[in-house]
Amino acid sequence: MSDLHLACPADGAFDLTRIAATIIQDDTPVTGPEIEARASEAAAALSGSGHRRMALCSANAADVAVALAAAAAARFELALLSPAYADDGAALRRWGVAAVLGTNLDLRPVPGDHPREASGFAILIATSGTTGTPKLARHTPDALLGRIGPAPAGRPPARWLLTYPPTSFAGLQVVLTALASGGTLIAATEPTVATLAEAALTHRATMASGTPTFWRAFLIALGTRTERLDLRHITLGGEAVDQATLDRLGAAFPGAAIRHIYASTEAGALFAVSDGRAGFPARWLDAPVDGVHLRIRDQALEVKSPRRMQGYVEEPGDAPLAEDGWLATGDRVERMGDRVVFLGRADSVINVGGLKVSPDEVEARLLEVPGVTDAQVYGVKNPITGQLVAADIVLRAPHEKERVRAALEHHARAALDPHKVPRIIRFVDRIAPTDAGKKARRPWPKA
Amino acid sequence: MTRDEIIVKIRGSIDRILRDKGSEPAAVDADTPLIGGDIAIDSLDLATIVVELETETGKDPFAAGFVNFATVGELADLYV
Repeated sequence: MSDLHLACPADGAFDLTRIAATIIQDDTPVTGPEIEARASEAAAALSGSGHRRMALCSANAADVAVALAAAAAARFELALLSPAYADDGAALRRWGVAAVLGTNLDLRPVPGDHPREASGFAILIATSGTTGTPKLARHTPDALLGRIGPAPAGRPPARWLLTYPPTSFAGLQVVLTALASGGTLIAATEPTVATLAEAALTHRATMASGTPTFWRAFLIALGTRTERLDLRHITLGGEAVDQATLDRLGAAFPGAAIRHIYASTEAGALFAVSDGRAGFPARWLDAPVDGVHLRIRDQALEVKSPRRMQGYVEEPGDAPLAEDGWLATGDRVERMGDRVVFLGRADSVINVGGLKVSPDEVEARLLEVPGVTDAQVYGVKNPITGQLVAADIVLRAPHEKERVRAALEHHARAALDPHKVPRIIRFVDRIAPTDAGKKARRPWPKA
Repeated sequence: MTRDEIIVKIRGSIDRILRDKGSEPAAVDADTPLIGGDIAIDSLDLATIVVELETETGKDPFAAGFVNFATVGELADLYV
């Protein structure tokens, strides 16, 4: 792993208050000095506020850079959240967020009693919770920056395309890497694949990190225009990578080094695989890789990582840790010769293009539709998004099929995020329970 | 099914997806790019179209993994 990004453990964490990078946000460049100036202004406001835990609710990478630099300078805890939480007072109070930092650097207090004890600079990231309000995972900057080092001298500055929301764990890794390397970050507030394809071409991206689903859609969106894009580094993560996707990317971007990374909000950045093959080398089970120990227990991958989170903000003792410090990933793996390959989830969680879906949440919504007496939700393999959500439905009366199908589609679209909406609906006579009375899940059936 | 029949199926799927989203209907022919052109569909929509085509044609051109395509016609060719 000789890639410059995310690859070399830093000798010392870089100074987040000194920004050399430029962020091209929605086609408008924001320079390092501009980010620093806005950050000092925000840091002054934060320092005078008496609060200790702030939130930024934004889809804008430049705002995230400003908030990071300000929190680092003023030694604050910064919760990075999607814009959806800006007005969610209940969630903000539960997370102990005292104020929300607006894009014009104003501080909007969140009503309620908030802890005032100083805890220093930390970054809080929402887990990809499958039901209800996500938890906030608390990371120290050193742990987040553990796999990020400064760019080596003598190479042209990198031009990163940001495909993830900047407040997600994966997006933050890219933002921090760009800030550390002093290159350019290309970001869009509404990062559709079409927008990102145009931005990558217009602003000459050389590096990009995305889910396998993103990369497949990116190839479809670019068509023959892949020739006009000089990508040097391609990173995949967030869902299992298949060999065909690696091969298609290699053919489309012959000049690019391709690697897939394994990381999670809880475990932090774990390891990167750059030999062009799916899965990871089995010898990593015997010797730590980048300081991370790996083992297989009950056919699932467990990890012991120096870069894991400190704990959840709400329930510090509730981390999914075994007594001996190992963390269960929930990903099912199998050793095949010299390789360990990913087989899907050990639990029933469905991964649609890197976004996790709880079958229980979807079933609860489907059961709200009149005429539905039982529902079972599961993932079906899909060549574009990895998996798609499918539902088996038991009807009260067979003649209601068409009415119920329309009602299910309408209700699911209104009540659920798009990736959680069942795209395949089958009507069945009954759903077989297992011995324990729980529904039998079928994690990876073929449609 | 012929290529033209499959293109008609794809056009029907795109029409329905756009209608469900409340988007404007779009002219769709063999040369229309599936993502990144004028029609507002995303990877999730495309994943759904692929499932519908597999059901309609009984063929799974992706059985051995992802195959690249860019336009409506190129997707239809995979199912002919």
